[in-house]
Amino acid sequence: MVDLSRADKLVIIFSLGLVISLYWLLWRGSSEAQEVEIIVDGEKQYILDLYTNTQIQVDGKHGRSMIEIKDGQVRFVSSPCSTGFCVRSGWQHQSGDFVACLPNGVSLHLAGGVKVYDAINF
Amino acid sequence: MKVLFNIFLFVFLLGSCSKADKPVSIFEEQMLVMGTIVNVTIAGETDKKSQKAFHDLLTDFKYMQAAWNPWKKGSLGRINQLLPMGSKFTIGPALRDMLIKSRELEAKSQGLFNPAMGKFVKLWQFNQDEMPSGPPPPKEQIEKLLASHPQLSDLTINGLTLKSSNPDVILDFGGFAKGYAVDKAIEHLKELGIQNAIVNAGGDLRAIGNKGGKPWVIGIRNPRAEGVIASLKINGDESVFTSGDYERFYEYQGKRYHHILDPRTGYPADKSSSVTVVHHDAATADAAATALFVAGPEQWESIAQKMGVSQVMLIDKSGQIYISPQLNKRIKFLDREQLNIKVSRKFEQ
Repeated sequence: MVDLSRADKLVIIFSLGLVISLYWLLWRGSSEAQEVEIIVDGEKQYILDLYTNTQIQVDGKHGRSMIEIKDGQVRFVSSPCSTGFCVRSGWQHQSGDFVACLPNGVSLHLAGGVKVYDAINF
Repeated sequence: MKVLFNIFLFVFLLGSCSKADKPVSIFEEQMLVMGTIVNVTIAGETDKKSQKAFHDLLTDFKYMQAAWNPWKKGSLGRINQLLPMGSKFTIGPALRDMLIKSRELEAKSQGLFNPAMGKFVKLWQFNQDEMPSGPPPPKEQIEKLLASHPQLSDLTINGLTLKSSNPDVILDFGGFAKGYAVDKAIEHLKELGIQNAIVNAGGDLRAIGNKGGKPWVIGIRNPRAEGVIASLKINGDESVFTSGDYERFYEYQGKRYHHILDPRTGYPADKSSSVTVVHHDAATADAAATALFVAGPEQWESIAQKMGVSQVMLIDKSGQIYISPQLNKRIKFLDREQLNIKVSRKFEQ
């Protein structure tokens, strides 16, 4: 039997704690998206970090859509459509979420993180 | 040494743990067609095969978009021009099959699913890409159209010929085309040898197979709040379709006018907020979601059984949830305690 000093024991306990914490953090995954893909007329035009707060204007088929990114979420602030479905959808934050202004041909796809749902029905 | 060995063994075993038994490749791509976003997810195939399948589906959807638009030049647009003349004319086999299937569903729904209401749709201006701003159409015009009671049984289909006995029949497959197109897309994927996929057309979907042995997980969005109200696991081949009053609507003088019209009144159906139907084929699920939305809380159970659908959830205007026992057994509400859920006793188990 090896005679472990108090310092050895502390190192072992610390190492085990570190391994377990890292396992929890890295393997558990998060459903929160990390980035947003802005797709205009079928083409990915921007990939933006969801944790860099910003507002961006995107030109679509009928005019300018205003998109806001804030604290890991994204939303349409305004868009030149009469349906208003995109703006009413509000903030999106989960990986796999998808919201679009169809008349203007601008859509937001949230990526990164772990998807909770393979598809959303609505 | 033995202690250290045990610690290293523990750490090694912990590190070798994996969340998934077998990682599966997932392909996901979107297209903007038929006035909606179609999301295609394919599991367990090579990227090359998935890309090819996606592009095949894109071609299919573009074709269907052009052919089935009731208001533009195309196969259905041509039919709508010829129908009011009352004479016999030829149609293509694809639209004939669509007509036959939708006529069966119209009969089973007791006329609550009615694709012959194109004139009503136009009167309410829901045929336009842009949302109308009101006012709603004059009562007299609605009543005049209602008196002629256009329905698919006014049509005579004989081989590849079609004739209408009612000049007010104009076809609009709004509550059916998406489902029919999703079925066609799934058929095409199966022909390409793809067994695990989801085709999601603007929130209405059909899923086949699974993802590496695990079921597909579908979230059902809350019709009146942000986020998901419930989830459902699919392992096999099922469609999930929802009709809601939040999809296309306008407000005029504080009142909401949405796009799901009640064939009995000519006005937007006003008893339901949303109806979700889970069924094998997407076309039936789509038509049933529309018919049961119109049926409302008093009639949904009898109409669902007549249409052969057993998994239904209806949310009324007050937020009360009505659900069939077959769907209640498998659906997972995120916060069941906070919801007002009434499980139907009228369904055959």
